[in-house]
Amino acid sequence: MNVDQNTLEQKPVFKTTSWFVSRHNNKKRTWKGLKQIISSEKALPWPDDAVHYSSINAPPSFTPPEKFSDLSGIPAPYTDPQSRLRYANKEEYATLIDLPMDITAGYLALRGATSIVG
Amino acid sequence: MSWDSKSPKISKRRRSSTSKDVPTKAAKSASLKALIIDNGGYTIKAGYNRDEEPQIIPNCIMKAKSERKRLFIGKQIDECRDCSGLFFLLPCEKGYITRWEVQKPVWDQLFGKDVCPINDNPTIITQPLFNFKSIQDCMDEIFFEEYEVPSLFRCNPTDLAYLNYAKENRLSRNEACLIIDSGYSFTHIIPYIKGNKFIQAAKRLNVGGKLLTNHLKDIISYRQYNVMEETYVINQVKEDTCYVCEDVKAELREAAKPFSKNTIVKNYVLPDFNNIRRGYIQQANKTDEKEESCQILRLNNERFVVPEILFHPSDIGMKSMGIAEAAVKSIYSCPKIDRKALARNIIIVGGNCKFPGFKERLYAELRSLLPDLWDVKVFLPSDPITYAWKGGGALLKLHDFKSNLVTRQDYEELGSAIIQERFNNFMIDDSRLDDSSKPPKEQTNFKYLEKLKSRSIFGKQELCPSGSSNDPTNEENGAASNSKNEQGEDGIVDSNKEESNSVSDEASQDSFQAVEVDKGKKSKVTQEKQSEDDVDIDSDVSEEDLTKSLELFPFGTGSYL
Repeated sequence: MNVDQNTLEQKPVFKTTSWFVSRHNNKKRTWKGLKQIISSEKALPWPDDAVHYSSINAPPSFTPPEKFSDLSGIPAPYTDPQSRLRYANKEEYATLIDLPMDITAGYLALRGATSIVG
Repeated sequence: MSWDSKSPKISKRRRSSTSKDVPTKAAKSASLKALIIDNGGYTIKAGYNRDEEPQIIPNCIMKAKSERKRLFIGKQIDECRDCSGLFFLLPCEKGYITRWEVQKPVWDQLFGKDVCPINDNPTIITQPLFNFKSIQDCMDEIFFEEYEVPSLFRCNPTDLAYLNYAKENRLSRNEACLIIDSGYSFTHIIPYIKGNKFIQAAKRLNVGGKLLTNHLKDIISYRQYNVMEETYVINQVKEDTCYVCEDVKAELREAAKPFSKNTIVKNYVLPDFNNIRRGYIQQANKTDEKEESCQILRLNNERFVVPEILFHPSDIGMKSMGIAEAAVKSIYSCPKIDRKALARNIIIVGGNCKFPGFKERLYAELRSLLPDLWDVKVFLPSDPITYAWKGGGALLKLHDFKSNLVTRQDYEELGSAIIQERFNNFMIDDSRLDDSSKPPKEQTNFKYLEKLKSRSIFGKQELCPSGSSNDPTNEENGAASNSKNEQGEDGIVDSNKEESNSVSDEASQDSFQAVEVDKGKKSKVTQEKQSEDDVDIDSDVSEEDLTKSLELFPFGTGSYL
């Protein structure tokens, strides 16, 4: 009898057949976002040669990026200095000079070239 | 009542403990039945190790426009009739679980009675490389306390893929492999050397299927229809039409041709969820009347430009290498002996490998980047998505697998910190790490630099380090050198020998700071002796004026001074 009680204490029995129904907590828990997790991970005192999440990021490429037309996607030798859009021929240029600002901004965002420096 | 439910578990536990004491391989592998879950960012692959194929379940909660009140969890999406404007709630952020309020219902549904119940079996679940501690804590809590699994094991999907490959090809432990896992959230490139991950050379590209789908969505929205809401449909478009080309420039020239001569352009019939449930590529010269009323998407260079991001992330302004370049970089960060074997055993897994031409392109790029003498082999499994899951069976057959498994008792006794260490160190060999980092540091022994320092040709005289007496590791053997240091400080004129000695002490200390302390202790004594010997031999030289030494300045010092 004594033994039985010991084992009972070891493993509290609260498992029911409907265990997969999630517990209902009325208060909503908020979780840390990935950015917060990464920054807190970075703040830890790592040794110099440790490998962690941020250190295995692939470094920048050695080859320069190819230039493609923003309108059609074909290789583009030209860039419009005003809108910074790339274009392949004069027909495309004729279209892009008439484009409104928000469209050009959208095209640039598509290429990931929204930074002022680039 | 409660006693009944408990008794089989106890007998099981007892059995496992006896089998640990007396290792009988055959009996173990026969008795083990485990639930294997490959918890991907887009789909969960789950099933028992004896199953032939896993069940593939979407790892998300979806909201449909047609049925506003209902949430579709995981597999329930099959019941949804109108998948237009499907809204996804994804548990993962860049591949790491952060929204538990989404992940939990999906798991609840997965482990429910009718899909894949745990039923007191050991559970193996995958996690990305360098999973964060807070995420692991949460996972431990959910599995041990909420699902009450008897035992749990976590490993990387690449581990499983490696084990599967090693088992299938009967690789010896010495054969190194490079696993490229290109999934939904990211692409990992991880070399395996002697059966262990070589994490120093691991690389991650933040390009995955999700990014490709979103990019295709963006392009189409700018060029044709606004499909920004239609992630689900566009993902199907991507799966059906996109491919990886051999040569982008040539392909672009082909794509620029007019429609009649163009072999790339395809018309894709978008689903209307009335007559057509899933979109398809329209056959040329054939028009169905069913298609008349449907919207048709014309895809031209989008078909190969989108997957091209995997090889050139710079196309969309990401400052990152492509897969092939990163793989080569990873190979070259490995020890020299293993590089050839790595090039010979490249395994690609993950959903992105299903793009037609992916393997050929990767091979072509690797071939041009790696030395001519090396064999390059890229292995694409018949089903790259479930390949890692299938490695679960191989994992169970590892001889030391039972000792890695964490039981609930372990968890309750040890807490999650210790068991997480066990998971994270799985297939990482610590002794190897030390070996590989040690030799290069010891070899950089520039004798003349030390002399130059002591002779202060280049300006300021460097005093011997005060740190040597503070350093706690130095206590045992430090007494002798300390006394020397004091001498050197007191009587600078006294002798050059003492000084250079102390400087070389400093140098030897520097070289050891990075290496592990307790290992450094022993060899330090020997190195000090060595450096003393060196000084004795060279003392004739050091007594002279170094600026006149021909050895150091063959052309004289006039240009420096």
